[in-house]
Amino acid sequence: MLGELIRALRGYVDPSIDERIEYVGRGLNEYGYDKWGFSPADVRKTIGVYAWLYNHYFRVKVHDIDRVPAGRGLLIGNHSSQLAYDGMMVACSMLLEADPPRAVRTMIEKFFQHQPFVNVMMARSGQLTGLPQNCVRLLEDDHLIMVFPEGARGGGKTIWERYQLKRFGQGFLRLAMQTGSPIIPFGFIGGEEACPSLVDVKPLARLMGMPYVPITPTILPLPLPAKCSIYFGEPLVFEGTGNEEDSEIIEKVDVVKQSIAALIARGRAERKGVFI
Amino acid sequence: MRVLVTGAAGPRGRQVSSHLLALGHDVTGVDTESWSNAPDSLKFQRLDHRKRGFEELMRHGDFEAIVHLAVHAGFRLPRAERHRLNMEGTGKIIDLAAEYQVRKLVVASHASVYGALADNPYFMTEQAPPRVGRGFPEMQDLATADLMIGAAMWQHPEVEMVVLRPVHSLGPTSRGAMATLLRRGRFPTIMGFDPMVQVIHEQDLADAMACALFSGIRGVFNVTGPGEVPLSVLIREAGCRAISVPESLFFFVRGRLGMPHVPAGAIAFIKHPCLINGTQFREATGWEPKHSLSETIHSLR
Repeated sequence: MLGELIRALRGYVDPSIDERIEYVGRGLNEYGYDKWGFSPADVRKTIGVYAWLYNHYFRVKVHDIDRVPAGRGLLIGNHSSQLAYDGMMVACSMLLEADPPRAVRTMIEKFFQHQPFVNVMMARSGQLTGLPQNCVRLLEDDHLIMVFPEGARGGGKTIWERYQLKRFGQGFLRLAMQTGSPIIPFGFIGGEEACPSLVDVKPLARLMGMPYVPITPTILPLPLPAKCSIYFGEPLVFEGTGNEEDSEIIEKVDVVKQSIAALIARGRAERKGVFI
Repeated sequence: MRVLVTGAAGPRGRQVSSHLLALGHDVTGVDTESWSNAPDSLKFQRLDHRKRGFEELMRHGDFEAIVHLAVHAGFRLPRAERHRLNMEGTGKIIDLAAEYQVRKLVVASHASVYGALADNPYFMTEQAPPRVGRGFPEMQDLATADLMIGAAMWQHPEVEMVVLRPVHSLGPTSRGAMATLLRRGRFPTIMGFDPMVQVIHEQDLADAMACALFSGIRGVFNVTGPGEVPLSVLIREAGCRAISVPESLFFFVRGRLGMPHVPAGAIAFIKHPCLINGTQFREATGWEPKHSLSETIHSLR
């Protein structure tokens, strides 16, 4: 297991993963970038480490990944794990296990756009600031987008609130309706234990201009080797223009939330051990 | 068509005038600067479009169209002069175009009027607010001149007005901010930032302006070139060296150690994306850039 990590750190990429990266990198410009700044060559540099985390550290088990349809779509799930290890693992599952592989575009906090190096890393791996305009344009280009409607409320939750779904935003649903995109709910199990936050130091977060500052057992938000699993649900299609009244949208958001809650319940019931 | 080109002796003016002449039009060019080896078929006059002599030219010229290029997006001029040129100059052109029944007015603005902000959506359409003034107040006059034309479209519906907001133009003669920086050989960048940038070949832009002139469109249009690349790739491919400086040190080194003195607000443009969507113009005119991304970038050499 450690040997594989060392190989990955040295830049070794499994040929089967290489093939998958090549597949998602179709239709780039002559310099190897898509118009959003996504670069498979840059993804290749780090995928070895992500694949190692995916296969050996978090030992991710995926259920019903074939439910994710081709073309545009929104992956909507529960958020946890402070530093979005859950997002990384779902993106890995789509790249490493989906057939054909997909490059997931994640809608991230504006905060990242201001951070040196991080902003470039995000853009090169296909992550963009979560603006509705970006989302619409990506969906119109038939991309698969991942949104955590809980946002920072979900990512920064403490261990005492694990697997409770926080308030969902409405934006994702309006965008899905506006662009005629299916919503694929997913439940992510293990993220809460991988990076449990004992307390969120809110005054420090405000001071640093960050969404939250967790104190974790590892002090820094480094992950513990919790076993993770992802449960994809049946795609949900909502007809409409996206300009409906709030009350109508809230009802539909609740349908999505319920289906995610059901996937989480199933995942927790099927889970044998948290770490082993 | 009898066309008047303002700012004709500037790099873009020369490009557009020559292009229009090649298309067989009757072109008159004016500029405060001289153009010594101007084409013989061009009627060139050295005068200021804000002064009396220009009105006389308008009175007798019987122009069908004006291409207004005497708009300054760079920093070669002193700030007050730049402001006068962009605001009063554009106001004057609007008035004269209406007074002398010019049918068409095409004005060159710039995509930078949208501003490079961290919360910019990618591929902004013409409906996005021009926010450049928020972090870069020196550019506000250009944005205002651009919006003045927008307002004049309603005041003078008889004049078909077009505002073009092109991305950075590159080419052997281009003197835009991006081209100038790239030609210096050392390009200042902010450490840890590498936004996507859009470029267009100067000939493609001249062609787009001609298209705007003859296609019967009116309104505000973004003009994009063959695509987008990370700034670092643009610098490398243009044969230039990126000098990466942490943002906190940037203000100390600009204007020193062979680094250009860029205004504080310009730093946003090497940090954050200012990407526009050019499909409206392409769909309205059928225009497409003829130079590929690499041809456009290499045209600087």
